[in-house]
Amino acid sequence: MGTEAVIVQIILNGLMLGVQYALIAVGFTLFFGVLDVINFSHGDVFMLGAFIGLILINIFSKLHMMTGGASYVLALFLIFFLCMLVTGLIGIIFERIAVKPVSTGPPLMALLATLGLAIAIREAVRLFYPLGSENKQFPELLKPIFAGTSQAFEITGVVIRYDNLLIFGIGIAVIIFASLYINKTKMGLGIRAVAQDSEAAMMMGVHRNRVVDVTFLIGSALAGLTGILNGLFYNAVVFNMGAMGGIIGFSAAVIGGLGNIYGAIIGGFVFAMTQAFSAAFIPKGSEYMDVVAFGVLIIFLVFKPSGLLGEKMYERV
Amino acid sequence: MMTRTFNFIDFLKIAVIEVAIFFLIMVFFNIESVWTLVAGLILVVAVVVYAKVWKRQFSSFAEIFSSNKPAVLGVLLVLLLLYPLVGPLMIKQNTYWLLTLIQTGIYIILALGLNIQLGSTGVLNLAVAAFYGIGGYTAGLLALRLGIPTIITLPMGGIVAALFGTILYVPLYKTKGHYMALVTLAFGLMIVLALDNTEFTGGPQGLKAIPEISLLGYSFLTKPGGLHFYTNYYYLTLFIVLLAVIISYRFYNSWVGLTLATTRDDEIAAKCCGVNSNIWKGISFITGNVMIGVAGALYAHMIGFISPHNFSFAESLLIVAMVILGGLDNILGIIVGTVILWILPEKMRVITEYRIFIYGILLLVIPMFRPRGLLPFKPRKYHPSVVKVKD
Repeated sequence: MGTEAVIVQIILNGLMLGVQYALIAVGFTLFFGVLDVINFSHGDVFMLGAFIGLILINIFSKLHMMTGGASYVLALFLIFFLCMLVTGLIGIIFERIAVKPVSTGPPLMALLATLGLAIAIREAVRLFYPLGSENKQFPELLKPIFAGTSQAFEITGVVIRYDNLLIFGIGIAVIIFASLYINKTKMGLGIRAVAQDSEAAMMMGVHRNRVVDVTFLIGSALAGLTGILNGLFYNAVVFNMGAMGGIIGFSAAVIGGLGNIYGAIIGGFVFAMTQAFSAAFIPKGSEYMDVVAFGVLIIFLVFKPSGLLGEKMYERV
Repeated sequence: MMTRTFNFIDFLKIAVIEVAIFFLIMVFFNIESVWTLVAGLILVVAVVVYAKVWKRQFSSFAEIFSSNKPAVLGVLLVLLLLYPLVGPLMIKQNTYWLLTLIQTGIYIILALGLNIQLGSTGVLNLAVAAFYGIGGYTAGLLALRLGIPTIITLPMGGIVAALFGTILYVPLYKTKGHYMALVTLAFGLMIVLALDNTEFTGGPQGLKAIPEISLLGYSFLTKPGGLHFYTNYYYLTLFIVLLAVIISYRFYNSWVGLTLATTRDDEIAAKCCGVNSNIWKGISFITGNVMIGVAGALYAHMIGFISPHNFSFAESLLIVAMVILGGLDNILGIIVGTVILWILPEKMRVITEYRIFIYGILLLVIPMFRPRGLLPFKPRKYHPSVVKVKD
């Protein structure tokens, strides 16, 4: 491969990971916006999404809907939709049990409660899912769609698989849909209002609790979808994938500036590109990839202490 | 008003109660069946509830305890000093519990170090385990590769951790709140990943056969009077824990502690009163890291084997949980929190598989009932006339 091909390959890898990081980061930034908490269990909702996806795939293949043709596409659509719905509802439940009861106290208590919740979810999957402590194979759901074609095409010596392209497309579509929802609808307006000033929003007639519920529904549904996309991309899921997923999602949200949805999206891509480029260009890069990525993150925060698009922090008395 | 007259009857009451609790704890160590354990825990909860409901009977005891602090602490210290001698007679798995107690001590040092940063000053350090690891690896590498005596490596662990802390403080003081937390989080992950991939530090296998501590020619592997050699480490850990507690109390009760508390509660107001908040945050961050680093060096020498796995992000979260659960800026609370979060899971090994699951549930449930920690900090009392402050 020439250098051009290498760079194209790196950018492709970065885009594939970036869309996943961005989807997780959007959740973090939304939760921070409405409740001013960092939800440490968000990474494990992402993991739950992957496992719920697995369960749904098993159910649909028992129902003989995964054989081919139109019913296959319908089943795929249902898997994505049901997974997002279930993780969204789980997100609301988690908010009710772990975030809201402690959100009136010091903010560190919410950290502790969501941390406990994250550990409990992770362990519950390990204990109660059949053979939960092992790597699970995730079926290549998207390949049969392109059964008639050559499965991939080439640009400047780089092989691009159609199913990866579809993963990217789904991710981008959902991101666009979510940002449209937050920017164009009435409920989205409510979310932004509560994020800016929850008391003023309540005085203007915004139902704060409902806004918080919807926010957790959207954020968790996005994380659940990311779980499936991640499973499709790596063809494997494991019970502790949420820990690193959560950390990276949080980092991406902070790079973009907490509370800003576009920031979270950009942050996800920036973090993924940093990882991809350091994996390629630094000696022993694949091992030191995350070291470099987190180092860049620290240096970045020195110059931009509130992220790329974050509100500039004014000190008021 | 408090009178400092020595009352022998009170002293006897204190001694009897503390000795009784001491023996109860040893019985607790011995319990092996799950149901006895559950029954015992229910009993403890019942006693706590009793103390809350019938405050009047309980308050007379509480009065004795709170007005005779030197006696309480003295008896406690004597009991802690006697433990290694009584333990072998009382406890079936004595060595195991001795080791567990030493580890509890190490975690108390770590939690007190973090408390100076998080509790007193409000600097959320999510890289505690990284500084713990830096201390451990410093001591291990110095002793293994250069053969430096342990009397130097122990403080060196703290000093090198403080040096790394100073470097990290440069990006840290520019950021605030969650952004600050992310800087420490990223640093912690970087250190562990770097240790994992560097051959000089042994990579994922870590450092093996780190020599034991020997002070003034006395090797800590010798068995004093037929007791297990962990006894040596028990006394050393106890000594360092006492040192850490005294330092923390001196910090808290001095004008330094007050300065730190003002920067935590309202940084702008503190600045207006002439407090250089950046410098004081740095001082507290670095002081905390010294304590954390020394704990790491002690751990490395005692266990003799360290790997990056020991110092992962989960470890940091455990220590943060100890501080928050016990009660920020409350030294007694933090010790209680550490003991609960370290000894209870050790005891829960009986239920092997579900241990971490229940641990997570506990972390989730306790904040609902005690939203400010088990023992929240109280306003400082500086003058007898302002004793009655209402929250």
